[in-house]
Amino acid sequence: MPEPVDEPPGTPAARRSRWQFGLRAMLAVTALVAVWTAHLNNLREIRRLEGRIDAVRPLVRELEVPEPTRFAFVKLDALWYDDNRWDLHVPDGSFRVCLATRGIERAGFPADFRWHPLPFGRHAMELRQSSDADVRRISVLVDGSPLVEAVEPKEWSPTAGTSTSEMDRGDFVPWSRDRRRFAFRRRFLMPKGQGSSAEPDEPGDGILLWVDRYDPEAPGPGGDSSKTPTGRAASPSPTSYLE
Amino acid sequence: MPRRLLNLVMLAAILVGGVLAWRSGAERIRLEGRYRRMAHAAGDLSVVNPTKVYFLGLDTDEPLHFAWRMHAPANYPMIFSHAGGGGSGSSTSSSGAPSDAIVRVRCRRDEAGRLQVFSKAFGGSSLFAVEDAMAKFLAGREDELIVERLAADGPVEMDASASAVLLRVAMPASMIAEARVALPGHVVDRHVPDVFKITVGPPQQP
Repeated sequence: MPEPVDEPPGTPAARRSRWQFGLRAMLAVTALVAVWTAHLNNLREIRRLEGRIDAVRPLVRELEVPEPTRFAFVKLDALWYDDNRWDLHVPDGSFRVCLATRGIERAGFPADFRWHPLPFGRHAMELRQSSDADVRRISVLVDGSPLVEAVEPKEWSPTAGTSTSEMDRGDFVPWSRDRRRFAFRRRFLMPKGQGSSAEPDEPGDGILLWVDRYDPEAPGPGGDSSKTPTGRAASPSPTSYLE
Repeated sequence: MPRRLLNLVMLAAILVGGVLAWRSGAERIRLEGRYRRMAHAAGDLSVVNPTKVYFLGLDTDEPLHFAWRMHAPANYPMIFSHAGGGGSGSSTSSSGAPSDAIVRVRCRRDEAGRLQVFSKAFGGSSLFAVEDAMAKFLAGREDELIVERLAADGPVEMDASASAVLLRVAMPASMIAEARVALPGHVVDRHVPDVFKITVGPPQQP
């Protein structure tokens, strides 16, 4: 019967038990746990941050342009009384800004207005009113330069107050009533006696600023408004879009 | 053979997990940056109890321009009243759900030198003018005024039934004595010692 022989040092180790791992396996398990823990932790943090961002988004009024082919705009926070400023994204050269100061109805758009094409890209737009000695000047500034301007005599000014679309509300989307254009509509009220005033039923003076798509090839200032598409708003972002 | 298969599976899981962790980490960094930028503009306000009213003062980088992040509970009937301007304005957070807003008070002089105060909260805003005599008296001395504003040092929580002084712009003692001598009585009554004061809270019961 042969004698049992001791294994000399340096020979292959005895067979490992089922629960015994080498250093390489241990490092691999550590790396596996680390990357998946990091990923799950990131996902949890992303969900938390998205919730906080959604809560603060309506307050900050940032212009968001998820689709550069769509017209986007956001009303900026008013820093003063009657401060009307917007940030715009204009996707191509077929949008225009229009301004009317007379013949303004409760809805619809007058035939007589001034307009100017809006250049492509991101812009800051402001509706500014100023008074000189004899005239009132209503200007639409884009990136600080007047693009459209109307000059009216002093008598044009409102005497009995104004009725303005609620432009300062953070959640308000300033669509025209047919929801086909971005519009700012202000109508001058008419005195009704005994200190009261009301919106006139017929077209009257005021300020109507709007942006719509037009056909640069079409003759005349009216363009082809029949092609103006329907707009829709995204929530909870304060940014709104025309398609 | 089974050990080799296990190694391959583990390697694949590490690679997939690594790519996902890298991508989610990049998204997390992007969102953190965006939230930091937004919080700089609108404040980082933690609302512990949505039925309470919260204020947090914001930096505006302008001496007489003040802003707050405000949280109002649902249907909070807020009155925004100003003493010193000869009137009061009201604004309500008429939303049926708790809502947040940036409340703003800003003072500046118009082309004629009149000192005007603009205030805005939720859907309402108002503009009032300080008496001309007081505006002239304060010309070039605005930085001597004492300004006390709510939540300047951190968030403030209050009950929906409570009122608080949001902003108080007052004269220092040395200016009060001078104003009493230099200004007409009705201007002193209206603007001394508080040039103006803005209070927020629900309407007070008679």
